[in-house]
Parts: sequence; structure tokens; C-alpha cells
Amino acid sequence: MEAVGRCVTAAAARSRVTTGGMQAAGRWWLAATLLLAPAPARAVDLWTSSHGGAEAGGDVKTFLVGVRPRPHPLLPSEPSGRAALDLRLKLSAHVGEWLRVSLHPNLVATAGAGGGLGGLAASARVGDPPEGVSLSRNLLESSAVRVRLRLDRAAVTLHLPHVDLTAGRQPVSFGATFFFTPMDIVAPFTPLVVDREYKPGVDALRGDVYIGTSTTVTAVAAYAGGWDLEGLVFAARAGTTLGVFDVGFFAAEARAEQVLGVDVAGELLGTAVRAEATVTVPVDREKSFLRGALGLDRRFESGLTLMGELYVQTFGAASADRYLEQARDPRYARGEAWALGRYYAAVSAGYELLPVLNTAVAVIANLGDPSLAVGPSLTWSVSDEAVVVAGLYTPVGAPPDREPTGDPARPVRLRSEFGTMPQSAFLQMKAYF
Amino acid sequence: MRTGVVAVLLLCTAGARAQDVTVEELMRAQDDALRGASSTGTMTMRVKTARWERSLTMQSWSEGTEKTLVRILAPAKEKGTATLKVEGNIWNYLPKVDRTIKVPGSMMGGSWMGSHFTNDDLVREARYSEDFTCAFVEKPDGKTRDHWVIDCTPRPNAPVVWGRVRLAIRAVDKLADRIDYLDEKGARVRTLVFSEFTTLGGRKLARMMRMVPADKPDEFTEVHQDDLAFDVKLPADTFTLQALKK
Repeated sequence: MEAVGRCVTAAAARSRVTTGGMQAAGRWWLAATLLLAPAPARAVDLWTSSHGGAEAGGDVKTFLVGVRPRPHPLLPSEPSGRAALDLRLKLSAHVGEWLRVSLHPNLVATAGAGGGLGGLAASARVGDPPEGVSLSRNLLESSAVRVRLRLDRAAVTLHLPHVDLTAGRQPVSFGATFFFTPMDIVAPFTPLVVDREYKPGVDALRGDVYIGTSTTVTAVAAYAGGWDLEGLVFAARAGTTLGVFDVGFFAAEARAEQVLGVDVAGELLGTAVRAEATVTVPVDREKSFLRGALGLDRRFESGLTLMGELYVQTFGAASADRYLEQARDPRYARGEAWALGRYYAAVSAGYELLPVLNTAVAVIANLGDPSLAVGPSLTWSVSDEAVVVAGLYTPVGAPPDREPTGDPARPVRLRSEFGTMPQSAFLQMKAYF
Repeated sequence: MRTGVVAVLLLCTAGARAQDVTVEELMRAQDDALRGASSTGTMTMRVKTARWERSLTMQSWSEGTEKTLVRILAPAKEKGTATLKVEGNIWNYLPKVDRTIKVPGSMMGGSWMGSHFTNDDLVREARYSEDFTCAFVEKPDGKTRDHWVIDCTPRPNAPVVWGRVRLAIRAVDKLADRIDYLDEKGARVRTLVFSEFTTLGGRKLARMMRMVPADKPDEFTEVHQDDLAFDVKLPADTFTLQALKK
């Protein structure tokens, strides 16, 4: 089952704990949350003068993710669970307006099995990007608990007239769409990541040139797993505003593949429009493929917000029985891609029940299978500095065949993407200081 | 709304010189208080309802009504989030993911940050002298009446969601201290009350404004102008995507 990489069957197997283990993870999460609840929420000015300053802030997050596989003779039968405590310290210092240093050490403790829940189950946070300079350390690793320290940011930014230069570990984001992000090739989120408000940094050199109000040229060289061409990403984007639309052109040499793209964001007939598309030319120059996403957003007088996206990736598997082979593509192991099929749609409806209580339902559909994942969630803003989020993902779609294929390379025949996915539920508490 | 807050505070600095002004002159003077003025300041917003209370501190830079940059200083949850508005374009910057997002005007409806201000307050640029027909309801008489009360009705196709707006302007300094927003049936929907009149940034203005919804009189959103400077020389790149990300 390990061969299927990020396929949910293997992911669930890696993270399997017993029902008792799930309860233990829940108790662990509760204890961590209660310990954190009275924590003071204050950022600290470490140094302030007319020449600059330094300050410390951060956040503490606890996650509890429970996974219940669909009843199936070939899938894990036991529910699994994982609890995580995520403590991030945000240190920053600046000299005048021209120099800024950021340092974000992140301590993550997880209870449960060592691997991530990854794949098609909800996961607490995006996986750590590869490090060109090792700034992480496992402080404790056992079958039950893992404690890891990582520097999520370690960057120096030089602000010059019309130019920003940043060196070090930093977040890198490209693109205009939200659910499907073909242009975000460095370290993208997947739609099933619970915590998408913070992006772990990648080791990179970056330059931004600004012309006028909104014309920008960005160039990034980022470490993506190696110091040769196949382990680096060189990307550039030039963007400007044309009328009410922001338009960008993108080019990259990513892991020795060439990528060209375009993105657009604006408004048409009272509806927000976002779109991005890339064409990738692989190393062997054969089978170039297109990834494209078109999103429309609309907010109604009632307070209801609807967001929808359509997505196509021509390198995806044409049918469900090809998903296991598709999952072996290194793009999945690198976290560069997550969807196995070709045609997708996503819709999110958000509504403010109270100013401090928001509800949302997200539906992500594979249009080829067809199958979908339905994800309702509730966000409660407990105070200025604390938020609790609860939600779940429920699959709808044909489960895998019940009979094994007898083929070691393809031990099970999948019939839909999200139909393979387990049910997962999450509870998250976030506190900021 | 954040730019709207800046705009409304600036509006309250308007001061017509003549005692016997026409309504047009009075409203134009208030509009002109916004035009061309550059300012920078810090303000704290407090939202209070029966069940919860929130506060938000922001730093702002503005140039007339067309250009505004607002950066959230507190709470820590939102710290660093910034909004740039230049003419009809609005961008948000989210530092935690390093993403600049274009925000279309159509997505700006509804309450802003859980307050009693709406996002519409932020993006609309209605001018009393152009988008409303205004008329005196009351004039100060030097005895019992010490305010001008002015009713302003939106002109057809004006970018205004209210049926009518009623302003009470103090005779002593020509500063508005109350604005009632009414629906098309004439029912009061919300009231904006100004207080703590003082000299700030070299101009007399209301340091505090409070928005109270008519249907929930125990709730309010207060905006307190902590500091403010007018006619400051802002760097040329203040209203750019580079400044948004700083």
C-alpha cells in the first residue's frame, strides 16, 4: 500500500491508531487546549527607537483530526486520530524603513502515529517544504509522540526605492485562485488542509520591482529538494492593472520543467472573477500539459458569500482505475499536485450567523468519477485573539472494488477519487499573541 | 469602511467661515474637506454588542478620498493585514501567506470586521454636493436652536444605499455631531454620533464617533482617533503595492 504514495488508503494506514489511541489523542488535545486557554495574548516590543525596533508575537494552535475509513475489506477498519500542538513565535526587527529581519521558530508536537494524515483526509497543516539549509530538528520521536522544531521564517528583506530584495526562508505564493492553484508551484496548499492562514517558508532568494501603483515584477529562486536544476524552482511574474483587472504573466523553470502561465483577477457584472492557467513542458518535452482554474465569487445582500471554481489538469488520470499509477507521479510526493483526475469543481458558501460566528460549506467535486467531498465548518471568534474552528469532510462517491485485483502494482481497483476518502472531522483552537 | 472611517473623521473637520451659509455651501465645504488633504493617523475601533466586545487598532494614510492605505496594528490575529485603495481598485495583503488579493467592489458588502459599519461605507465615495439634494430642516436661531439640521436625499443613480441622510451640524463650529441614516420609507436605520471635539493635527474635529443601529440601541461601534496629522508630506510610494506589503 505504500506504493500508492499519497493515496488515502496508504495515508490512513500510515497514521492508523486504535480507537483507544484516538481517544488518547483527544485527551491530549484537550489537555493542551486547557493549558493554553489562560495564556496571555500580548505581543511584546523588544526594542523601540527612532532608528528601528524589534518585537515578538506569535500564535498557539491545537488541532484534533479524527478519521473514520469507509467500511471496506481492503481499507483500514479502525478509526484513527491525531492531535497536534503548534506553537509559533514571530520575531521581527527593522532598521528604519529599509531593512527587516523575520524569524519564526515553530514547535509542533503531534500525538498519534509518525506520518501525516495527508492524502485525501483532512490534515491540520500543509507539510513542511524541503529545506536547502537544515533548520529543523526532531526533539522527540516515538511511536506515540513527535516533537519537531522548525524555522518557518528566517529572512532578511531590503526595501529600496521601487525594489524589495528578500533572502532566506520566506513564504512564496503565486496566482489568483483559491481552491485550485496551478500557478502556486513552490509550496501550495491543498483544499483539505485545515489551517491555510499561515504558509511555511521555503528557502529562496526573491526580488520584487514596483513600478507605479500596481505594476510589479517578481523573480524567485527557491530550493525545492535539491541543488541541481531538478531540485530548484526559478519563477518570475510580471503583473499590472488594466482597468478593473489585475493581469499577470508567469514563467518558470521548475524542477527542470518549463512552466508558462497567466493570471487574471477583477470584476465582471458585479461578480468577482479570478483565473489562472499554466502550461508545463516536462523534462522529456513530451506530453506538455495544461492546468487551469476559473473562479467566480459573489456576495449577496443577505450576507451569503458564494465562491466557485472550475479546474482542469490534463495530466490527470482519465479514469478512476488509473489513479494508483497517477499517484506515483513525483508531483504528488512533492506536494505540487494533489488531485488525481482531470476535471474538478469547487463551491464554497459562507454565511455570518453572528459577527463572531461564521458557517461555511465547501464542496469539492471530481467531475470525471464523479465523486465529491462535502466539508461543513463553523468558526467561532471567541475573543479578539482566539478562534475555534470545527468541521468535517464527508465523501460521496463509489468506494473501491471489494475484491483485490491480485496485482501488486495495483492492489485495489479504485472507482472514484473522493469515494476512497475516509470521513474526517477536525477541531482547531487558535490563539494569537 | 476603514477608508470610510477616515473619510468621515475628515468630514467632521469641515468648517464653513460664513455664519449665513447656504446649504450648498455648507455641504460643499464638508466635501472639500476631503479633497486633496493628506493625513496619517492611528485609530481604535471598539465593537460592543450584548454578548461580545471586540477592538481593532489601525494605522492609516490617506490622500483625498481616492487613496488610502490602512494597516491593522492589533489584535495580533489580524496584525499586518493591510488594505490599499487607489481610486476604484482595492487590494488586501495577507502577510501570513504573502498574498496580495484584488478585492472587487462587489465583494465589499456586509458588515466590516463584525462592526456596525459596512464594507460599503469603505468603498463608496458619495459627495453631498454631487450625489444628494440637500435642504435645511432647521437653522440655528442663536437662542434655542444651535444646529443646522439638513436633509439630504440621494439623486437618481447616486452610489448611495440610503433613502435619506439627516445631518445635525453645530452652529458653533460647523461640525456635524450627528448623522441619521434612513431607509426609503423614512425609518431610521442607524445613527452616527460624534463627540470629544478637540484640536487634533491642527484642526478642530471630533475625536470619537459612535455608530448605533436603530434596531439594537444597546449595541454600537466606536472609532476613536488616537492621533492624526493633516497635510503631511507622504512618500511618493505610499499608495503602492510595495507600501502595502511593508
